[in-house]
Amino acid sequence: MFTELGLLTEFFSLLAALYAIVALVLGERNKNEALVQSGRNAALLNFGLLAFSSGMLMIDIILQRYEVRYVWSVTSPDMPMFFRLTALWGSQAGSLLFWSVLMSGFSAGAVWLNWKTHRRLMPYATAYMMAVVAFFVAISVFLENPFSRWWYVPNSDEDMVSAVFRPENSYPANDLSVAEFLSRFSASQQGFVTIPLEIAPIDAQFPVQGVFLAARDLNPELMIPSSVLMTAQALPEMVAIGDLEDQSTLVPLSVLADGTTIRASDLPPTARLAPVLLDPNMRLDLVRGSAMGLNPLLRHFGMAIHPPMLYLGFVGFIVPFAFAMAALASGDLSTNWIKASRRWTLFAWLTLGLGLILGGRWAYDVLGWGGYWGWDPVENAAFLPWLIGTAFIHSVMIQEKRGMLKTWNMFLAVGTFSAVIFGTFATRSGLIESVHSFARSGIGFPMFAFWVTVTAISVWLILWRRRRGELRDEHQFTNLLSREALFVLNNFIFVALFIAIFWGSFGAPIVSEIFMDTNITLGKEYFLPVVTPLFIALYILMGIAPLSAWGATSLKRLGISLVIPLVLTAITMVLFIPLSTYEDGVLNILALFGYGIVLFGGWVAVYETYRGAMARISAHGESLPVAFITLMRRNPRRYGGYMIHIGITVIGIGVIGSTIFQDETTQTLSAGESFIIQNYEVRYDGLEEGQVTQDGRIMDIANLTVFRNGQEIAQLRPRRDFFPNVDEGMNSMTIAGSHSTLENDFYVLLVSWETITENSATFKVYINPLVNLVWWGGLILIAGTVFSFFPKETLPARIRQRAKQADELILKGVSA
Amino acid sequence: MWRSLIIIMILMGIVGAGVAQEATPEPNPTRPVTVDEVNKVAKDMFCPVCENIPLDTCGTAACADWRNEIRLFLEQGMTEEEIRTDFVRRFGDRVVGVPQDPFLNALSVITPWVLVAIGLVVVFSSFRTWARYKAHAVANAPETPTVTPASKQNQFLDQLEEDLKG
Repeated sequence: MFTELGLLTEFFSLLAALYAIVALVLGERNKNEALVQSGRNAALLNFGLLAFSSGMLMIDIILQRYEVRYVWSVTSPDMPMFFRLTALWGSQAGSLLFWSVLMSGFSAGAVWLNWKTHRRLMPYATAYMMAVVAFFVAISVFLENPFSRWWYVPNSDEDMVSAVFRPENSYPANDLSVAEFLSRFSASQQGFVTIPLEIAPIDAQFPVQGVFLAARDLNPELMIPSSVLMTAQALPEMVAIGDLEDQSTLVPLSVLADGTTIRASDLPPTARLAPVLLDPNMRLDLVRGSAMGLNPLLRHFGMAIHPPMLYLGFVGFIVPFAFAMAALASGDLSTNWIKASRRWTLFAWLTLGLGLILGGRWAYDVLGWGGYWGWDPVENAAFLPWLIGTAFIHSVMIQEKRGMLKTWNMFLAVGTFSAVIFGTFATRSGLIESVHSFARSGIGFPMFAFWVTVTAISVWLILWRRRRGELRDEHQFTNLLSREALFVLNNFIFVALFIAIFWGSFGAPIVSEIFMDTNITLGKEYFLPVVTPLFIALYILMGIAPLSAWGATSLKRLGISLVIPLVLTAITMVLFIPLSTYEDGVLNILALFGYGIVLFGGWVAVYETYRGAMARISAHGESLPVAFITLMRRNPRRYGGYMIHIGITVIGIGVIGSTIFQDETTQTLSAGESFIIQNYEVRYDGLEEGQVTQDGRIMDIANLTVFRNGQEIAQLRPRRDFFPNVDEGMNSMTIAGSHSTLENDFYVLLVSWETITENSATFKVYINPLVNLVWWGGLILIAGTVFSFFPKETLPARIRQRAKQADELILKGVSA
Repeated sequence: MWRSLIIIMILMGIVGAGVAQEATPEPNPTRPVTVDEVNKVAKDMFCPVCENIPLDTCGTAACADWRNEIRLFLEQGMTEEEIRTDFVRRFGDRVVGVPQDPFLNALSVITPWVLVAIGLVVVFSSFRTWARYKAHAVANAPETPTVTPASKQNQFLDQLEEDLKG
């Protein structure tokens, strides 16, 4: 029932979205308020229906309804409840529904909060949002339906078929009788199965209905049709006939098709086969036993948060996009669309950034390669909208302050959302395969077409308004050192980074494959030389731009403002000399300058905040804390922005340290042996094999003791987890053991242990200097973004009312 | 004289052979190669089967075999570049981080810089246009009374207050 309800409500949500688009556009064009209100309500209903539909899928997951193919593909009976809940976004179909409900939630939020304040924009904005939601829901309903179920279709090419509606002559795969199941074998023989067996231990024919065989110590490579094996695993109980002494050790083997032969050579000498009689009315569940559960790599706490955050970031950019499009459609090309979408943009930017940081942490913890960013195309696909979104966040300030860059901001709003759609297309279609990628599926072409259409229509609308002269800037740039000019350079660098990363991840591989029939992969040898100079320029601008003024700044004035931050940077660089020196005492001068450039941006943020507080102290006689708090409260956007800059600085220090000074070694040790890396000594104490956990994983854990300068500092337990029910190639996970300090991470992976002797094991050890600053910087960045959400402190309402009344009186006096 | 010439030629031949031997050293299978040396080579290569997975960390049996192959190559005295070239010859340019094929290499590495350069030209030509606009605006602006410059601290305070207003 839950499945049917989920399916029905998802379909109705599609209808609601389509109705909302028509009603809002027609209502707004014909000035039919009732129709507009009806469209608005349909948009809200769309969210309600999609939320209900997702809830139904979640209930299916919790109740382990394995006849639902999605539930079968992402959960298993032994999976803990926590991971079962995260399975909602564990694979394509569920994550598409989840994606749709989040997007619809953003739309409903914008309708709820912005309808009254931005009435002119809202009908078109809502129609745009509903159009995008309708596309994703349609993809979910027609191509990747999460409510599709398994059906057993005897006498067909494939025994098991997944379909939304019940195929002809089929049975629900989770609930059919033995007789129904055996109908494919016995159709020509009036309900009887005759299976000639030629086996050594038992040599017999079984002319009985519903013969199953059980065996012990069976050769696992015995070829058994997969559908039959699935059935055998699903047997609820068996009644064995035969003389096996211990029936509890029976392994259900198979229903054997007519003429199946089991050869003695397939069986070990101790194997015994026994025919098993089944009650024809006994109910079978053909799917439960074969449910494999979530991809092991996704069974990590980070995966509970990383995908939702990333999705929130991705879908959240629909709001600025929709408002930009609504501004173009309605002709309200003032800054209203920016004001309406500012907080939504910041929220999307925050969650996308958080998603990226959590993704990095997940990779660091689970993927077992000692790093957090591998320039993998799927990582990059998520990074691209963040880059354009960051450019947009900076650029809209120029339009708000100076009425400039109107066209450019439109392009950035469209570009950010276009990058979101492209990233979704690239990762979900299998365009570029990677560890993150969903399998190749039928949604590739529709998503590509949608991406091209959305981008083309948006660009056409921008150019149309521009040709009509409606996006003309109110001011011109007059000074190369003005803050707006520096923001333009900042935008240019963000876009250049976007182009470089897009080209390396998608452009060059696709071009070479299409035009030269050659597969290429661009790795860090491409990315590091290309993006490093651009990031250096970005950090320098991050330092200079806040010191310049809107409108115009003289070189002299800017130079004077730079002196103190530069002095502070120089002093700190001296402190960073030990961190820029290798173990053998060689100073890496480039790394030291790298630290200096990164620190400069941070010092400017600190200095500007301090300078502002000091100015208030001298002008208003406030104490330092009061001056500081007043500053922060009166312009949270600016000082939240500075906190973000400090966070970016801390991340930059972590990236330089952990990239340039990472040290690694691979060593094989016998129990009791140790090795030395830098001033650390690692002793292998032994292995705990075959630890079985509640969720069915088997853990092999190595025990290590780590010493530094002769002092024991940590006991580490790196491990390998195996998931016996999961396909080979995906069935293991390497969990590092690490000793974390602010100085570095001592990070150990258990590589292998059985290749030489049972007592030896191979370890890969990384020393990652300053890596934890990447996470700490991320937290500061998040805090800064949250802070910049805070509403600006304004005068109390009573005083504002009095001032307004006074203004009105003055105006009356003037007119009189 | 002929005798001397023959002796010189023989000596040159011996020296030449020695030089040639130095240029292509004999394989030295006894040279111990550490896992770290193997990983140093494999780190900059990709698994030929799994897309975008570095060869040093790929967990498949095939990659373990390829790492073992690298170890054998290193034992034979092959350089890192020779090993990479050998892998590219067998599996294509996808196994390295930047293609070895000269055209593909140029296409991959130069294209973003060309695009960045074009972008820079556009940005700076825009700035020049704006500067001309400014010069034109200044020339046509009505005369304004001279204002006594405020102190630096006042300027900063004014700007700060303006910013705080939003």
